[in-house]
Amino acid sequence: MKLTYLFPHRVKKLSGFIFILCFGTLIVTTLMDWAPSMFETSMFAMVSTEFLKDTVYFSWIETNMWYDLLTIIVIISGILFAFSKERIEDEYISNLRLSALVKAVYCNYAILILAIFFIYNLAFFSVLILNMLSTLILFILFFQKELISVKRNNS
Amino acid sequence: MKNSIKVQRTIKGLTQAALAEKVAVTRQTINAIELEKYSPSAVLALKLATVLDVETDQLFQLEEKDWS
Repeated sequence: MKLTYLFPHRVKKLSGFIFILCFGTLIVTTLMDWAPSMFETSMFAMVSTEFLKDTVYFSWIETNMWYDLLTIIVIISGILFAFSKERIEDEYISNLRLSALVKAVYCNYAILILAIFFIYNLAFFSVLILNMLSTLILFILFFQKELISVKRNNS
Repeated sequence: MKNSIKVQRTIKGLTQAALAEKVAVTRQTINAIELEKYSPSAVLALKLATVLDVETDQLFQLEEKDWS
């Protein structure tokens, strides 16, 4: 079975390294509520609502791009890492990949449903932000766990 | 679905790794098929039968549960 929608195996190591590095940096800087001032810039916003202010449309706003850039890098490197071929990508590996993807989607929405019930107001905004990356991260974790367990059972 | 890959592979004197290489899959895939944890696609089943030089229905047999 030819899978044309997967990235080549050669991008796996580098993207994995960048993903772990940037995801770690994102978590640490978010917890510290710190962003380098050199990333302060004017950006064109289609929609922007500042705290206790009116919503503005199609205007230039002042923002710090640190978190935006890190998030974009985490998403791209995460997708490259998660969806690049294994050294030998055969139908059994594809089967494990599909199974991990289904588990990740179910698990993600189970967590989201619990969060809808138990997390309220501004705290829920953090849940939505985490939800941007959670499916991808859960998929990576489930798929790597499956691969490790298959390799362990065979050795 | 039952299979007799392990028996046929032993008759041919092939290791899991050698068979995996001949049909272009990983050794883990051959192991999963032998342990009946994974049912191969029609293409892979035909490849295995060709390499092991047996008929496909000699290599794979349907079980009662496969009909439900």
